[in-house]
Amino acid sequence: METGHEQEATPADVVRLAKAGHLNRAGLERAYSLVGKLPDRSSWERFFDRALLLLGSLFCLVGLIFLAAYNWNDIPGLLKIALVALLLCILTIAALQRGLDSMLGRLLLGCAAVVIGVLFAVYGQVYQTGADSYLLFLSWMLFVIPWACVARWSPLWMLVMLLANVSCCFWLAQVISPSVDIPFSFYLLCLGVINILCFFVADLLAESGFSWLRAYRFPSLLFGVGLFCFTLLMIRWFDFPLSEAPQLYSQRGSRLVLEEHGISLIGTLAYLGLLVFGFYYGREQRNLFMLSLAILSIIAVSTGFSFARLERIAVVASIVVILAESAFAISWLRKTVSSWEQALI
Amino acid sequence: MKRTELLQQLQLEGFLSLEQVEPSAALFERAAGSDSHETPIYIRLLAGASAWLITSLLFYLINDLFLLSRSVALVIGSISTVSAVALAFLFQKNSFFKPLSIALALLGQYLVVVGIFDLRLNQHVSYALIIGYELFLLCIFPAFLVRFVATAISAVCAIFWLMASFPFSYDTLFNLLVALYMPLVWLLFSFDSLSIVRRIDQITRPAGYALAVVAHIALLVSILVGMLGHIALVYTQFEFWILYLSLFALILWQLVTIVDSSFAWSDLWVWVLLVLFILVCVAASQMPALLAPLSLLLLAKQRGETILFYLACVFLLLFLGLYYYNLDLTLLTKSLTLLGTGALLLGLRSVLRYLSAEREVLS
Repeated sequence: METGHEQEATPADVVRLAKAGHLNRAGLERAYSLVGKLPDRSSWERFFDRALLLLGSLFCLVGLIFLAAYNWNDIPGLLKIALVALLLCILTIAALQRGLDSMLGRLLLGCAAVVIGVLFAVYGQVYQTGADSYLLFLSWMLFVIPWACVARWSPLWMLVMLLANVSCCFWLAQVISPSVDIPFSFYLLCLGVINILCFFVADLLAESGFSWLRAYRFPSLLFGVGLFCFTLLMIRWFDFPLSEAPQLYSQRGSRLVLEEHGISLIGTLAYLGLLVFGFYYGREQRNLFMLSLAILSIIAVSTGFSFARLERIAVVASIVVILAESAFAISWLRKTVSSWEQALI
Repeated sequence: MKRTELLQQLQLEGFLSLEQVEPSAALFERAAGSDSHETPIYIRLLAGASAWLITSLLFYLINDLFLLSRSVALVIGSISTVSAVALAFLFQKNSFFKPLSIALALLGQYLVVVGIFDLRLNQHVSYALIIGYELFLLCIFPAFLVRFVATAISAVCAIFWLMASFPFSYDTLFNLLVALYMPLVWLLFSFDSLSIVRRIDQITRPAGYALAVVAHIALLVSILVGMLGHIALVYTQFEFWILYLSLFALILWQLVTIVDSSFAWSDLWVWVLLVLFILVCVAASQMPALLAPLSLLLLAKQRGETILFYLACVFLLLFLGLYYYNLDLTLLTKSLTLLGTGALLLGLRSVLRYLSAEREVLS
């Protein structure tokens, strides 16, 4: 078992020393530097190096997007496309030259992935294709996927997922909605299903050798986005009290309201399944982030229920219920974390 | 670094005497395992979210019950505040009563503020009473969230009080306050390190966070209202110089303190960094609002404040995005400014890297 001396020193240890009167002000500052709470020279150099790289890339990218948005008339259309394509090539070659294992190489490839979108936008500006905007995001996503596979860097996959979600929303709104009147719940259901499916795929891949996918909590974030969609779906369902159904039917059309209820019913079953899975997976994988998200979702849904359905006196009851929920959840989570730590020791 | 290594290093550098090493080691032995009882961030966030939900429900209920007699709000707010303070001191570590005390304190804050306004006193008296009440909560209530909200309300009240006292325009006032609040944020976070031992940081940290947020939101409002945060071709305006020069001076001062504590003035690297900063400030004169989150970034790194760091990143991205809507400049000028600044940053980064590598070879 690890003794107190063998443990990593933390800022709390430094405070303990200072409180016991063993350190003066200068000693405290130095001890903070040694445990990494306050930066020393090398830490500052690393910080400035990364900050300048990130800020410089960000400013250049935003400047490029502004330039594309300016739609400069003095530059011929083909030249505009060629300039953006040239930048794309330069960024990609530079990324490959630096190596995709280095932070700079990955960042350059990330910039190139953003420039792909700029290229499509400029193309659309020059040729006025009249295509729906979901096609822009979908093509952008499809072109970024091979790069994300090569880069083995989860932020690029986050960009892919963001584009997938945006494409899906635009596709539903621009292609499906004009012919079939889609209830809002359907959007939430689609986004929820997409993100949860991607979570399963990402988690399976991470288990089978692609462990870099776990960086920046990518699978957990996908689960969080999916759960957020289903939570919104549940809260939204409470906005359709059955007692007011006739009025709603006349306002919105009975078919649409019935569809909304049907989708919400499917969503409820999926939500319950997701919660059970979230608790099981969170405990098995020792993922506190997922456990906290699942509990927060339950609290949000119960609050939504109390706001939509309950009278004044029941609000008091719901306050007590939320207090009890949060107190129980916090105590349970603490015990769970403590049991994990005990198991580790 | 291991605890034993820390003690050895401190002793080597003369910060710990030989006699102090053994008691220090015993201190660590006693503390072994106690850190595991610290609540993880997700659990704390969950508790915070629950507290906010409960406050919203309580507010909904009380507003529903006492809609017609809002002056009752002052009485209920005071009772709520007193109960919150009592609960906070009686059940400091209880996971049920701690969120409840926070929720009650937040509800009390809202009701007291509304109640004081409802008394229809002289507005100077009203503002003074509210600021006094919030400062009292800041000093006495042992919760980050309540202290944060108390400082934020005081800071916003100070804005309105100044507005009521002097014939300033919104833009002038907001820019003046950013110029005033940002150095104050620096001061609160740069409080003597021993304040952590004396627990003064439990007041200065939430106050610093709140002032940083209020200052940035004030800047955001001034950008949205009059685009003064992104001043172009208005160099004759007084507000521009107040905002720009104060933020310039603040970042310069921060850099000087960083160099003083971690670098040597004789190092060429330091001078290149300072030149880079001045060039960036000149380039950023069309978007002075960007200097505020940049200053916050430096401060966050300097004091090891992770959340402040992310907050600064969010505001930086927000201000950069809002630059698009600056109607005083063409998109071409804006894009060329950004591309130029970006190229400058990347170019001088290469120079700094070269100098670092050269120094390492020499040493």
